[in-house]
Amino acid sequence: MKTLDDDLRERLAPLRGLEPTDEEIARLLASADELRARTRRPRRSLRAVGVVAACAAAIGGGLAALPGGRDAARPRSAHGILEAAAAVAAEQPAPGAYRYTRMLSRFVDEVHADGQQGQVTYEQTSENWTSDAFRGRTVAPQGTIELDAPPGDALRVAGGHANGLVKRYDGSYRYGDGPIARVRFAELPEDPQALAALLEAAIRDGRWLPHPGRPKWAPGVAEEEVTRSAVILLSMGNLTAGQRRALFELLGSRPGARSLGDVHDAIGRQGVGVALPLASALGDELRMIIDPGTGDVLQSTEVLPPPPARLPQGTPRPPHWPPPVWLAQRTEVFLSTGSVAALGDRP
Amino acid sequence: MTTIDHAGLLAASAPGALTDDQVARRAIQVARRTALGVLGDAEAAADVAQDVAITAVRRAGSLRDPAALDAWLHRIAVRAALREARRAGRRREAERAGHDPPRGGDDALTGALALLDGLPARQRAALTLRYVHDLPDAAIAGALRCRPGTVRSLLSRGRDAVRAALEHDDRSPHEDA
Repeated sequence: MKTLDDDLRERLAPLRGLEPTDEEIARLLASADELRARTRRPRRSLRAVGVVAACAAAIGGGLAALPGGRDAARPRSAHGILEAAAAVAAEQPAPGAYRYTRMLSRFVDEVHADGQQGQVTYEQTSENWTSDAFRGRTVAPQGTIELDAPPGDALRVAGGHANGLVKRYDGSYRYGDGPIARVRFAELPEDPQALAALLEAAIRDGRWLPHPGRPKWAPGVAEEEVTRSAVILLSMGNLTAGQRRALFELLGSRPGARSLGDVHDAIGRQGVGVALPLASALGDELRMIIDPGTGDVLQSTEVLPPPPARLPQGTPRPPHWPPPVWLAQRTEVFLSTGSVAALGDRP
Repeated sequence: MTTIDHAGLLAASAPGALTDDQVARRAIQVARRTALGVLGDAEAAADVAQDVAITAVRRAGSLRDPAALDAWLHRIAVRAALREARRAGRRREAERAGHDPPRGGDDALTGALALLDGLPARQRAALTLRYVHDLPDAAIAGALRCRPGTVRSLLSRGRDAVRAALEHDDRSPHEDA
């Protein structure tokens, strides 16, 4: 008579059947060799890049080989999705003088104050033209604010504060763009490791500050900014196909990425989703939805869990903690993007 | 499909002779099975396996005894899978309307994963290490960083839960009738 142990071994056996095939292994090794031949880097760097590509191929292949008919042509892991997006991005035409982006920016604040709990959602549509180093223009009509019903005083106060963030705007490119504001696009390398190094250096050396200075970063924060900056560059940067490919490869080499599979963005377009960890200790993450046909970023969402009730040991406790209002989600939906010859032109 | 005899491979290798691709292949194999058992999600398991393989290749040089590779891989794979399970749990709590995690596989795989569905992550890990990787109590204890007695308890509770689920499934058609 079969024991429960035997029965369990038999029932869980399908988990053992996830071996890469010989063909997949050969493809995997060929990818690694190709990368080795293409790059001239110190041994340590080569190993890391080779393995990233090799693992992506192996895992993508392994999943495609699952019995039951997974789509072999469509990568399913986060790294496979990003590698595929890199390949598609590399095929795109050269950029014009400006990158045009029409986008919907939506923010969700959580309010926990005076015994009330609810959300304030505010959003604004804008048109942006960016050239080198994010020089350009933003035009945005007045946005909207929505309060959870029934709106108490705390929600109304939070909504009042949000009002200033969705005012009508017409001026220089509004977003900067943060720590990579003064990076010349022509200097961005088409090698993912060199690109990551340049972005991290730009973030750390403080060239983006109004006055010269070298900001201090908590451990891991500058690395998270590299991830965020790569997504911003892919969305808003007027870049070459090679630079876009390198940015996707850079994201593919970040640890902790996870696949969201086939997803729809806020306006119903289908794409493939990837979540990238930001402040891992707090659980922040950046979710991208990519058009697999063009490599365009359809939507990016930063999800921020509630502030922890207990701060890490040694962290000074602010006077009001946890805060009564915090940003829970920031989403940018890229409604229309393309290359144009002049400010004011639309694709 | 070729199944690699890793025990033979390791025994035949001189210390320090493992190549990057041998380490990466073994890491992916160990981590994907473990993560799939713990997480029940093929795509999440692939991502965990990717991270484990990168860690493994970067740090394999510091492993003084290549014969200990498997034990080390089991330990880092279990840790990565449990960490992802905690993150996934927090995400489910924090999100009001999020993405459903994609699940994948054929009927047999779906059935296997359904068997573990609903169990605590450490029980799932223990059952996977025993019945998928065929590890003894001491090796499971090493991977889970607990005492062998705790492993026996985890396995016992896991088996009880699975038995109850199987008995329920067996009874269901009669109840429906």
